[in-house]
Amino acid sequence: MNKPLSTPTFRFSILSFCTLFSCSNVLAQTTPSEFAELSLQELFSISTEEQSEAESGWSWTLQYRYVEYDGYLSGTDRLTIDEVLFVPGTEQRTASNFPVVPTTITQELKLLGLEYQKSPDWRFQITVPHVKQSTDHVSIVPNYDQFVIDSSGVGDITLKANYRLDNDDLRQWWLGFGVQVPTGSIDQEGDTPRAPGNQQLPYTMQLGSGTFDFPFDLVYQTNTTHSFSVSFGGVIRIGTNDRNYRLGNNYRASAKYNYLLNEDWSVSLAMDAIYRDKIKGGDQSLLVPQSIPYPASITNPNLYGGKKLVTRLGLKTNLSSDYTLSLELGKPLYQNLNGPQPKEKWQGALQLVATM
Amino acid sequence: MLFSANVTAFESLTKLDKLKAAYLFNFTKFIEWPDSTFRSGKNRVEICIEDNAALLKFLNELVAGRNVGKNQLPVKVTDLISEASCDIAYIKHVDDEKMRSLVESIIISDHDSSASSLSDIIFFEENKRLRFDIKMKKMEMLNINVSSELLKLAREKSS
Repeated sequence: MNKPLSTPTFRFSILSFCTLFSCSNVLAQTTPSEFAELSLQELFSISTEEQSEAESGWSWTLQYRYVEYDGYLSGTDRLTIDEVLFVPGTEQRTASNFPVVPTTITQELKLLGLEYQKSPDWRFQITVPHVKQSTDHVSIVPNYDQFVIDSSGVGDITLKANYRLDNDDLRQWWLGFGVQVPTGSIDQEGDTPRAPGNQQLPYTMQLGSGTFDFPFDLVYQTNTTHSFSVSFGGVIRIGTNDRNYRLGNNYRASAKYNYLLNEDWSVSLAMDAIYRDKIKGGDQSLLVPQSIPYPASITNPNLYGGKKLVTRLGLKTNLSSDYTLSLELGKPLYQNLNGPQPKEKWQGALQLVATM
Repeated sequence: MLFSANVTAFESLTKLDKLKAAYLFNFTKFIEWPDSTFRSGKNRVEICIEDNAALLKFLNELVAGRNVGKNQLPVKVTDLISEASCDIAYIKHVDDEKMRSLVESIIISDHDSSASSLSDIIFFEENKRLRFDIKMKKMEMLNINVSSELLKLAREKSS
């Protein structure tokens, strides 16, 4: 019950297609100029067969991503669960304490991606996410002193095109743009202390944004054994969904260094600077009829978003000429959140990419 | 007509040969030659191709307008017969006269050719991919600097 699974963390993470898919030239080359543009690394991946299946232009990706949140931040100040939990008779109710407090939040994303490289300059992708999230809570409500809420299902499907703006022997620029279709539910319900039976769950437990959103990114990448990439991207959202809110826009600047250990193994170090807006509007069904209408921090649209600096360590290997497996572990180095807001503890991703 | 001629020439090349051409060009990016007598006055990197007109033509077009190395030198591709100052020579056969003329050149050949035992870089196929071995002895003698990036990708590196 915290950071919208379908929004900031996961949906943004599928933006950078160079991470999700390979940025190498898998399409069949024919002209001298096309062969001249291949780096040594790319040459290693190209089949010597005249009509290789590996160069059909199709590739697919399976990704499993896990993020865990634990503890609270308001700005950069750490808060304990006791400080966020409102206990009547011992303290005054304020906008910063709540009768219901999420403690540990886990978010899992299983993502299936399919890419078609139409030409060396154009790539088209569709990604279908399956989202699963679970949140442990404590509260002062009788019979709900500790409880867990889960939600799962298909998230928002992304359609994206990537265009190669510029390219030379060792470096290239890509521009990506697309649309996220609101296929993920925003009507997930569960048993919360708000009332008996099932009620509408907070923003974070929903599976989609409910709006048509527009991801974009600009990627610069070198192709050497010491390859380096920088990217800037984000998700722009417009309008409001059927529940009268719009998740915040988010933006990310990333830098990634990739070092080729040998022809089959590489390691990487990446840094992401992330900014996320608050939620605009609000779902009235999440409120309670009190002077402070938010039973938990995650029901307050203003307690979303903030800034983060996340570092990621990665390991990638070629299982065969057609399959690549990568593992990435990340940890925030800095978080400045509109809080009280649960803070990210760590994240991990396992990914298999195959050319067809 | 020119376009048609090119297409015909390139179609006669196997994909393996085209990949070799791309490798030959890539090698020039990761190898630095010393300012020796052999290279005095040369302001380009020269790749010589033996007995393969289609590959020569393909590689010529491949390198056109592209500069390599820290000095950003252009690359010239010529027939081995007509060129005596090759920086890189891709050869198929061995004879004494040829080897004498290539004493200061990096010799590249295929692993199944008669020249492979005398070559500095040897192409071979593995799992339907083109790979290469590097023998450093001659290049070290000639003070030719091979980038660690290139060495890292070689299957075998021997002195």
